[in-house]
Amino acid sequence: MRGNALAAYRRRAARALADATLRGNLRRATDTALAKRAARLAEIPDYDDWREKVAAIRRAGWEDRAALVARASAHLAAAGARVHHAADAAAARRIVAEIAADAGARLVVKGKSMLTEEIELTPHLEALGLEVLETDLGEFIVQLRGEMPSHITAPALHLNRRQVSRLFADRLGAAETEDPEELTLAARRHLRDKFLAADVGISGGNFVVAETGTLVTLENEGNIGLSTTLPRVHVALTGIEKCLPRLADLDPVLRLLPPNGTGQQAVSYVSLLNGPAPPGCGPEALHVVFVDNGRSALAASGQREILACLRCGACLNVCPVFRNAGGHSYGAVYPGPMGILLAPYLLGDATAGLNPGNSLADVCSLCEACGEVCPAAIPLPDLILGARAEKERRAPASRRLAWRLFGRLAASPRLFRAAGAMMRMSLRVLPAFLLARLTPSWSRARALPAPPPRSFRAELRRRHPGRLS
Amino acid sequence: MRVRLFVPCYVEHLKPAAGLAAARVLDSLGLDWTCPDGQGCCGQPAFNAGHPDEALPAARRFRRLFDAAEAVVAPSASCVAMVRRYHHLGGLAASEREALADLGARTFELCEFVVDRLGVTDLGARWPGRVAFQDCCHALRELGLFDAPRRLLAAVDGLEVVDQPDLDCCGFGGVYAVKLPEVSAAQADLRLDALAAAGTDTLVATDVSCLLHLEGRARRRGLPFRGLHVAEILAPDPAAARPAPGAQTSEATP
Amino acid sequence: MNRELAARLRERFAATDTEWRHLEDAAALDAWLAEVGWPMPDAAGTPRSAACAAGDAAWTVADGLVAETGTLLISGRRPHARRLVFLAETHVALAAEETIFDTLADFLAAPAREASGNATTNGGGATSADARAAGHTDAAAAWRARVGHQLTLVTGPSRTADIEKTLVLGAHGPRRLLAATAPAALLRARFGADAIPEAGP
Repeated sequence: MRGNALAAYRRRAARALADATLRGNLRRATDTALAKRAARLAEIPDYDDWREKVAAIRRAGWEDRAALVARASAHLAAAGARVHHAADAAAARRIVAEIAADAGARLVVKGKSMLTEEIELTPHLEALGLEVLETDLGEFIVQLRGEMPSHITAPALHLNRRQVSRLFADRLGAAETEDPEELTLAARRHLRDKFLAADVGISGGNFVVAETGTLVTLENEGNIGLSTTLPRVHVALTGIEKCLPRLADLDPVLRLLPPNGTGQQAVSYVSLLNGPAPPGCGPEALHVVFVDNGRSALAASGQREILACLRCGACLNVCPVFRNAGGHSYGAVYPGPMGILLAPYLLGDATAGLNPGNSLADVCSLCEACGEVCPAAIPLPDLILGARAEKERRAPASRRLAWRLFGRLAASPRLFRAAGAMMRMSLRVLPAFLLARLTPSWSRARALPAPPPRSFRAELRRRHPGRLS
Repeated sequence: MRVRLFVPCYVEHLKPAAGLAAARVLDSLGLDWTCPDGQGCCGQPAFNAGHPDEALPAARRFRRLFDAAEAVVAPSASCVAMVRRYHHLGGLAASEREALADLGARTFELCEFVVDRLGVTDLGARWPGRVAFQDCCHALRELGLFDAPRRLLAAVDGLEVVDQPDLDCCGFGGVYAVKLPEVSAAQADLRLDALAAAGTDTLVATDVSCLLHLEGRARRRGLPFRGLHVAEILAPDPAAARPAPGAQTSEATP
Repeated sequence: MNRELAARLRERFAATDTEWRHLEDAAALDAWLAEVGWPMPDAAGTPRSAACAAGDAAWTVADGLVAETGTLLISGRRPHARRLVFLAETHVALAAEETIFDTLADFLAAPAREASGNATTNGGGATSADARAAGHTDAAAAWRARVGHQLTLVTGPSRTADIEKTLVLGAHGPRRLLAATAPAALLRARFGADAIPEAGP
């Protein structure tokens, strides 16, 4: 997708908007997510205080990333883990491929990790002859469909049970069923053998506690647990901005992330790994890969505060654009408000082809609901406006000139009056078809306003001339 | 109190009725108000389109026109939100920054001004009929405007308000409406669905921009729709014969 | 157990689909152990295993419990326990009443108090005596001394809502989580002194 990002978005969004099934699925899923979030937040007194704490912790995570990653790495290495640092996606892929090759691996099982999607790890490993299985149910589903996830915490949010049933019948030979429990059981049965046979287990890392060198993963299904206790080798990938300074920071973070992410008070499993398991008690080797892949560049930009993102997905669930056109419309593994800000820096090398000058910063109606719900208090609306300005700095001179002229017009009373009069006259005088031709983006879906006979100023002069000054 | 009326550009050129209603509200409060000549646009379209520097001339012009006011009042939350952001614009001298911050603090959306600044909740208005009230995003989230319009409407004699909070953005979003018209229209449709569910065709809101977008979409779809700025309920034009509920208004009716 | 705490635990465990019982005395404990099929060791007189699995079930003694969320803490004190958390269809966990913490913050902040005179090595790292000797000057060392190579927070059985946001239990991990609390003294009698931590709030 190396063309104009906005044009590509509009094409995909138009298709999504015409898909009634998708829209129904999206609405139900996001409404449910928001309702559960609201219920959980009502149970947290002093929510705003906790949010402040989380915001400070996550700010430190990216501001002090060099020191925190160094500290975490030292502790992990001292505990016997193999620590790697990857400057970009290609380096990260190479590191993982080498680890797999050294282990003589054939079969890899994966927990859900947005970072591994970001660096396009799976296709790279598959090209090297490895069988790579997503084990998170939602990721497993989209992997079977050959799609990318459409939401960062609910990958198959765009599908309904009938679609999953047909998929499983097709690809797993399972009996068709409308029962989510039976569908889940079909996936469980299919993947259980894979967990037991896998050579390498790959996970992400929601966070790493720098103070103790502790890798933190959150999940509900247990697939990360199985992927990281059964195979011989565990490889964990995490972003350099994911360190929590202290162990105690876990409490505020674990207090806010599940309610905002999945509408739960607590997820089923939080694993805190301090290093490799003793012999016979788990994988023989633990590798931790700290990945930069554009995060340093993002930290140097005006949108750096997005690095505090917890990957909860609340901003997606509340975004009216996401709720209508869905995650796939963005054409990137990071959709929605957070995706607009992360994708140009983290997915620059990926097939998405985005960069700060070719981004989806326009895909936002500026409603500001995202900023309201972010548990890390990231000022998403301001960052999106900043990203928009960033993009426009690289716009063609003609567009910048047009806005320069607008700026002058807006501040020049004569020009402003004349422009208004011309607009009113055009609306009054020109035939409808011509008006529509002149304003295609408005008129395709909306009628133009009926012109008033006079401007406000003219009306005021008629009725209350004494009030003019 | 020296009150100045600030007229949003789309009120000036497309919906003067909202401005006239705001004027009547100020009259009913017995205020000494004027409307400075030489107003333009607040510059928000440029700011929102990613060209914040091009809002500078508008900011400076606004200051020249309104700095002498004790309070500036506008029938538009998004314009007031823009004015309150002026002092963050790049390229301002420190003294300009200070002056604009101060001016922004003295600039109010109409309901905000009446309720929060003047402490008035009952304007003695009468408007029998049922309307729906929906929030505009900048009103809600930039100005924190929720109670003021509702309290004012609650005091209107004969008025039945179907309050519709917690709706998604209507999809206007300024340049967004023409940059992503498909999604914008889809968002409008959801608001119109809500309006239909309220059992009325009359939608009341604090921002005319959102109403123009929704009205345009409704008319394209052949749906009955009448969009009224809050002021038009709070200070109905005594000279106008109100159309029967359900009929579509055209702009010709003041 | 005081009634207020019991009510809180009952509410939290019910909300997270954990089947919980508090066991006040030896008779209750023994009955529960039999009910959940906690394997008896082969030789008579030796304590039961604090972490084992057979068939469709896995049994683990937990090292703590967080009341606020109904969360069981499975540490690296028993280094092979972590795998057991995810493996079987039914996970059975047992925690000493004295190791109940109000919040996770309380647990994280509590000083490590290993059983006195206990020099048992658990494969995870330094012995408790070594750790005490090192003075716990290093937070990382203190943490590792306390929990070994890992700590897993378990709240309810495995679950997913990936299909139409419909909750299904038993996605890949256990479908059922059976939990019980009992006085530490009773547990020591059944599982051996070194198997039951003295650490508490």
